[in-house]
Amino acid sequence: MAAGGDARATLTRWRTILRDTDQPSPRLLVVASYTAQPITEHLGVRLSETTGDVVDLSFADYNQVFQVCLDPVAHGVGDADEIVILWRLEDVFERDIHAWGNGETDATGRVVDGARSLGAAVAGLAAQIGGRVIAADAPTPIGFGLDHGDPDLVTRLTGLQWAANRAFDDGLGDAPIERLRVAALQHAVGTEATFDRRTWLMARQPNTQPFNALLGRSIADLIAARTDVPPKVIVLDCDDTLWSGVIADDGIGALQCSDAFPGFAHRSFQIAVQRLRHQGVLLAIASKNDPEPVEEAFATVDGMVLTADDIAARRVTWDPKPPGVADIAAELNVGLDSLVFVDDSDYEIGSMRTQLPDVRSLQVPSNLEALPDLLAETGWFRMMRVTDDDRVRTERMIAESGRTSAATAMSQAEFLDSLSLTVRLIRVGAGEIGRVAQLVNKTNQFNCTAIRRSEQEIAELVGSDATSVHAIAVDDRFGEYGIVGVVIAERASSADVPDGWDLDTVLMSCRVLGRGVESAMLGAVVADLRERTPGPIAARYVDSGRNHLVRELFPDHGFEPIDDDAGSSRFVLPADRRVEIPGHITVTVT
Amino acid sequence: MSDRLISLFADGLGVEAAELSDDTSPENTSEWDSLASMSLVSLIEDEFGVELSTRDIMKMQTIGLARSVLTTKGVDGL
Repeated sequence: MAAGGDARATLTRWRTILRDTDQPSPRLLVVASYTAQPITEHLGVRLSETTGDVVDLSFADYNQVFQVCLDPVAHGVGDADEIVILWRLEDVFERDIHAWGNGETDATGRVVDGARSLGAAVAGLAAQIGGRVIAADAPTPIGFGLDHGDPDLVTRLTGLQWAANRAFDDGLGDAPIERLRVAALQHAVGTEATFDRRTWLMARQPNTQPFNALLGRSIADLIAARTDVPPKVIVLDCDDTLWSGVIADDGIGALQCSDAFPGFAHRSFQIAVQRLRHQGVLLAIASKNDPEPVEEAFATVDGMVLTADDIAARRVTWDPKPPGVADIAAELNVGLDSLVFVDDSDYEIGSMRTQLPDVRSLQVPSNLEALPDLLAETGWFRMMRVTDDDRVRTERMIAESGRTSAATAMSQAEFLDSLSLTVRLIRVGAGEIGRVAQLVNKTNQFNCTAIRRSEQEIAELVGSDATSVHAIAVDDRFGEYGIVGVVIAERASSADVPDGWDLDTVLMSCRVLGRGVESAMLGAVVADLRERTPGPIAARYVDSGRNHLVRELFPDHGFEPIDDDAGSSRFVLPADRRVEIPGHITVTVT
Repeated sequence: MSDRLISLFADGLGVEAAELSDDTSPENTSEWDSLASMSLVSLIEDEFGVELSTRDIMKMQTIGLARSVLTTKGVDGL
């Protein structure tokens, strides 16, 4: 099987799971700076396999991370149970990353400050909504000709990345937010191997299929791990678990736990166990032996890492293990579901699983190279998990301090002001016809009539006195978006609107949604049309099945309904009414 | 299911193979949107052991055109 698993089987499996479910739950919203939809089936199938839950997955418009965090209600985030934030520096801070590449001295500071603001915005989101928030860190930027074979560039680039991620973490502060280490996943796979140049250029999907699969599964595992009670006690067998060899058969002198294989595998396991003990996990032993030789082995076997003092409870007897392990739980005052049991014997593992099914039983693998990572592989001990205690404490802190996180985060209005957003109104000429035709034929969601036209047809409209073709180009501190909106108007001549203008096409790329650009576009076009011919402006919305986003666009901007058929509505903006241009946008006309 | 390519597109788009033909295109199949196009790329690469360039992908405007791209790349029996 390929690294990403069998993509086709996963896709088919996910469709079957969805078909067999009436009420998918939990509701999970992914807010990503790029097109992240390809993680869907991998996340869905993995979560279904681990928890039995069938996730109801949706995606915010791409590259709207700031906007969604600062105004979650307007973006329909309020009722999500889980929100996952995925972002890349080269998406969110595109302009500053390019400036950094050009050697601009203060670009680093702008990226780092921006990342801190983004973290604060995510913290503000967590404080405002009921759902849980999982925030990824930023992977190393790639694409745009960044040469990942150049050691000097890679050193500087990863330096920028880590500075930005630390600032992002600072911005998150103490908010109860789980972390998804995308940077670590990217490094494990290899930066180049995560990046699909084709899907990036064609569809703003930077990730290869296997990396999308890994991301999807990692998110599912984070959610699944949360429902596990964190282990408090590890109960360890001794013979062939802590050391190689069996006391009763081989004698203490034959036990191995030093630098030679197979002892080294057991010694490495002990090092891992001791680390967990220092993180607060209690250790116990359950061994079928006489007590004295086990004590002697702890004291004398060469290479032992754990000492008798590391062990909080012990049942060293020839009696069955399950009652002994239950005793250990009682002695240490923890529930059975807080216990992890490790043993090499099929019999002991089987008896524990049947008699104490709440205890998580792990068998020492017969391939010993898997032993040192046995506990780490489970994910049960990951420190990135926010425990329930942490969560309650953090939530209380937030409530007491009057939503500190929201206060440190910018408001939506402050954010919009900080964008330095410029909308340039263009009276379309020959040079723009290609891009305009592309938008006319490709824009589905923010498109009021979804009328498609060829370049030839648009050229004729541009050349005609009876019609007007406008476009807008947008620019803000994050980047230059180029031509992203088109309005085509014809001189009005209908019975209900006999003079003025009739808007035949109003469309905008979703790349610039959520910043008031549509209001500026309408305002600027209306003003420019009236300079040529004053009067009312008619407009219409035609339901294309995919453009519900703009159903209320005209009424929201002061147009009055004059006709409402099924699937098609007509509106008019009276001659004495303008469309307000939002205060945070500067409009220029070329 | 004698046709591997039709069967693959059916799985990729989530529609019945009987609804698809060599004339199937994004214009006549609402499931074939830009997301599906990209996901079809990796499904096709996995299934037929080929690598597709942006130029190849742009040519695949119908299932029939995808078939001829794959044939020129040496995939037999399509």
